[in-house]
Amino acid sequence: MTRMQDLIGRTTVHSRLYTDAAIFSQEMHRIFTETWVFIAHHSEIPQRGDFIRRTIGTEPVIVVRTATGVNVLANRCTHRGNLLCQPDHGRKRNFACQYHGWVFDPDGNLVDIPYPAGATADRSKLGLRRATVDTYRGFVFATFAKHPVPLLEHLGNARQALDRASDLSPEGEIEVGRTWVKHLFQANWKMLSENEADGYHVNFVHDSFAKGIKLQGKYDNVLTSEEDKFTAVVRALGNGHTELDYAATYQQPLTWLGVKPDRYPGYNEAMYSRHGEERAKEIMRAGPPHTFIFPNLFLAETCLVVIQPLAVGRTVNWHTPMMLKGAPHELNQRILRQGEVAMGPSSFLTADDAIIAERQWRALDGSPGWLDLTRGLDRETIREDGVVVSHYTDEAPNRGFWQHYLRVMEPGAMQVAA
Amino acid sequence: METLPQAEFQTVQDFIFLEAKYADESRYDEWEALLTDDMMYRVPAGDGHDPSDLAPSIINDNRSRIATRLRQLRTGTRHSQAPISVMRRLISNLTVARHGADEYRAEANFVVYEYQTQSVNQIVTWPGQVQYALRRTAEGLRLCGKTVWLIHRSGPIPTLSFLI
Amino acid sequence: MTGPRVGAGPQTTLAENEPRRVDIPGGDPVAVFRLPDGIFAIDDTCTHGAASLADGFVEGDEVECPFHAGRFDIRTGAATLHPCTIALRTYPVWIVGGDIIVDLSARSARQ
Repeated sequence: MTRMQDLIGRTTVHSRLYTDAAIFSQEMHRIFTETWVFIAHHSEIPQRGDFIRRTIGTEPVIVVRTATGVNVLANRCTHRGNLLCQPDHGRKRNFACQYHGWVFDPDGNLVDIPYPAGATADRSKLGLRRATVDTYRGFVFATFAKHPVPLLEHLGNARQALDRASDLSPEGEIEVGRTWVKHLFQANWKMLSENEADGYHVNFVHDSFAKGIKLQGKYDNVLTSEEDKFTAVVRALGNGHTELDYAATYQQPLTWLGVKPDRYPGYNEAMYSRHGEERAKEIMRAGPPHTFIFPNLFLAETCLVVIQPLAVGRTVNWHTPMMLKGAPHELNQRILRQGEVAMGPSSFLTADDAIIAERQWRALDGSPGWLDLTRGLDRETIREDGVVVSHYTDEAPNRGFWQHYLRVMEPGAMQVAA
Repeated sequence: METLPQAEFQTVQDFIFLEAKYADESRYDEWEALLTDDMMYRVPAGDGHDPSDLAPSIINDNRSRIATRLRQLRTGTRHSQAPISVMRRLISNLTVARHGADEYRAEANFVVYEYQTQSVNQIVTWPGQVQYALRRTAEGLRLCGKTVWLIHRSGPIPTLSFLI
Repeated sequence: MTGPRVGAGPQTTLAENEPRRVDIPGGDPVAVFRLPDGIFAIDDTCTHGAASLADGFVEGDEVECPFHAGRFDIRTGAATLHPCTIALRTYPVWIVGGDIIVDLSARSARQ
């Protein structure tokens, strides 16, 4: 097996990272099983007994609300391996396997074996595999790692993005509904991850959007062809997290939402009341995050996006609108409408990102080689907190993503100079 | 339910087949000319029965957004339809009923066969049920509503940037 | 009424569709149910497995076990849906001073 450090340099990576099935399997273990992944927002399972089905990498799990919190359980009977819970969502007091009737409680304990006289198994050793779960501002993360670092340590400088999303709500919380749109990409999951903080592609992949859509204010700045006119920036936040930041392009509160600052007076009042007027106005001006949280969460301004790997060349991009709890209904409707522009198989934006990723995957699969990630190397700025900031079109986020990837996939790898 | 006279049924069916032909052939201008000003074009997601009006859809276009969608397609640089998908759809099990004084409601089963040559170079199939709302106007029948219920709307679907 | 009995709480707070389990020191728990025509008591432990029927779902006159979705008639204790086949014991219920009292000495025989 080729070592990761032979495939990843400071400014270059090899295409095999996107197309090799053996590397994909390793990622499912080293990244998705052994580090923190985003699993759900707690508003999806509000009541005791509520459950949803998700995956951690390619492992099916049950996410269930109990009396004391949220559990994430491997969705596999410990008897002979049947999928324990088939429905996508619901409310249950227990999970009974449809193969031989074994019953598990929401903590994963095996509580019943039918025809008990013949059972010789030690029930205490046959509980469901259970992940460590932690939550920040209602965002639920999980890991099957035995000794995970604290969640806040993993989040690092990306924690401010979860705050940024949540603080736009007068109650300090986003909430999501029960419907997700699922967009299938015939491409590798990392192509989606890397696209979230890629500013360079916007004018080219979304050329038809620039030509066809009449949207004042929001995208003017980044659709320019003059390199020195960009005020939006990109950042590598550390720990593989990356972001685009449009805050500098917004002059007024709520420009990000495409409305005038006084459009929702009740909302403004509630926000002033919570944050004080000056801080509230700044929150409402800077707008929501456009941040990728390694390995599978993307806060896409108006949408919550989850990247689900299926196979080395197949990925599902899930999205649902990020509603602001306590905000007026019309404001949340506008968030929904804005999300429809950006996300989904028929959207004005992501539909074209998918086609590019699919072409990229096919081209690399057929024509392997080294990729170039040198852009902006001589003009990036490193902040005191370690965050790398650069021009909107530069590749600091890609470099930051791959350095973290290398550390996770091959702990102790010697970093090779470019 | 009263059976529609054959000639009337035929007129509605002819219109539906014409709309399908324009969509198959990506004839954006002619397709757009069939629409009323209050046209709603919907492709629900999930199980399609989320009662919340904040539920996301695959497509949820009022007439203004349809215009934007078509403007984007006409640029020729929408990569997901460049080149344009070659398509043919089959429509069957059509039922038509009068609705008020000058409208019809129709339902049919359909499957679109799309030869996707923008990236995967494969035939992609899109089966479902389509519901039409049609209105008699001075210029003839016009489409004021189209809702498409893909059978796989609750699961992952690939890029859908043609007229379904 | 003589013989062993157990209190099952105030009758005003027992709602339909919300059965209540009553633990009995040294004995098997019972469950009390409110139906439109009165309050009924049956064994709480399902005869098919270790489930508590007080955690079950009330459907009309029947309770559905939360483990494998078998059913029992709340009034008679009879097993009415597979995989449950053995009937539950039933117990007379008295209301004394607003409290539910379950008479443990008089129970219908298992069928």
